[in-house]
Amino acid sequence: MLGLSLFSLRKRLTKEKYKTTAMHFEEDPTAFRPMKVTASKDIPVGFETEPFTKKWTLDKGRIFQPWPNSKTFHNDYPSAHDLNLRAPIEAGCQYLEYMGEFVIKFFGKEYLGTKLSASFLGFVYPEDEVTIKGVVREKVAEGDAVRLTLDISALNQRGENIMVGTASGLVH
Amino acid sequence: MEKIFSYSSCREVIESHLQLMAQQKGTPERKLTMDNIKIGEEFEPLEFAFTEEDRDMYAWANDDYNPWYMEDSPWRGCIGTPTCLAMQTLMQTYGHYGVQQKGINPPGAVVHNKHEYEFINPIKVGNKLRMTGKPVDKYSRRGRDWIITEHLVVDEDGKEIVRMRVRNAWPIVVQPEEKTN
Repeated sequence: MLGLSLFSLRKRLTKEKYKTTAMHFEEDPTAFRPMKVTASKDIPVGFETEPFTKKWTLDKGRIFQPWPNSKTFHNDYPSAHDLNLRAPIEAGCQYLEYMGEFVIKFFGKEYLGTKLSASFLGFVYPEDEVTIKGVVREKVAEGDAVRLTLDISALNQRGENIMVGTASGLVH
Repeated sequence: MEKIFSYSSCREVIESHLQLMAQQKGTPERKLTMDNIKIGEEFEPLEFAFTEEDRDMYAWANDDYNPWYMEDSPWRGCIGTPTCLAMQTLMQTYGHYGVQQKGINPPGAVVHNKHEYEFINPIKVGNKLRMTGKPVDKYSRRGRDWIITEHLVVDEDGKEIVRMRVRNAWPIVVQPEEKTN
């Protein structure tokens, strides 16, 4: 009987512990996060969009160009070494997607009709993180709409420019 | 939402990409050299579909699970990412010239250098698409050769989807501090 009482007491105390201890649930780092401020006629020149960061891993490169079916300097170490690269580098097509993500997040439905230009300046190696951010450079009225032109930068964790781009779109 | 990824679906994607390359008539004999580039010469058209497997692969590889891609969009149905057809432009160009990215053709490999888009209509998942393209400029500068190509993608109804202008250069230049020891 004493044992049963001790057991019930222990059970009750455990419940109490979990009632008062807040569970820490981590956020999914890959979950879709829309921009808080998107393209509108009110946005001023000089406005900086909220940045977002992407991490490139060898696994992601091997999904984008499925390995080992396809072995290139984007997903295969020996192939990269053959070209004097210390490790595989991210495909330009893959980090172009960061620009695409920026354009559709910022312009929303009005991404149709926009123009995007992206130039690759540096290599992205496994485990590198790239932060993408845009700045409104120009705002010009075109009839009822406003044309916003943004300079987009993509910097790695060392502050090096990986990619630069320009996006220009009409906002109604 | 639950993210469903299947590696076998990625194998399907690479198989479809290899088939796309095979549509081109490039051979190692038709090398990527400045002499072989004929400005205005049309590449063989590429016909393909942007499938659900392509959509999943792009989402997984880039951690981009926009509900417009995965669930539904203002255009009724899922769409592809705006920039998802970049790979196909390289397939069309590299396929035409028989590029082999092992430093064989051309020596030192080709690097994708600049990409321009004009987004016209959304890329609907499952729609059949057709890409045409041609070289529009070529030059040699700073020890490298450069080719600029233009591509147009239309859907099965002939509606324009996206226009692209692409710059590629060869060989790859590696900065001294990045070389292997």
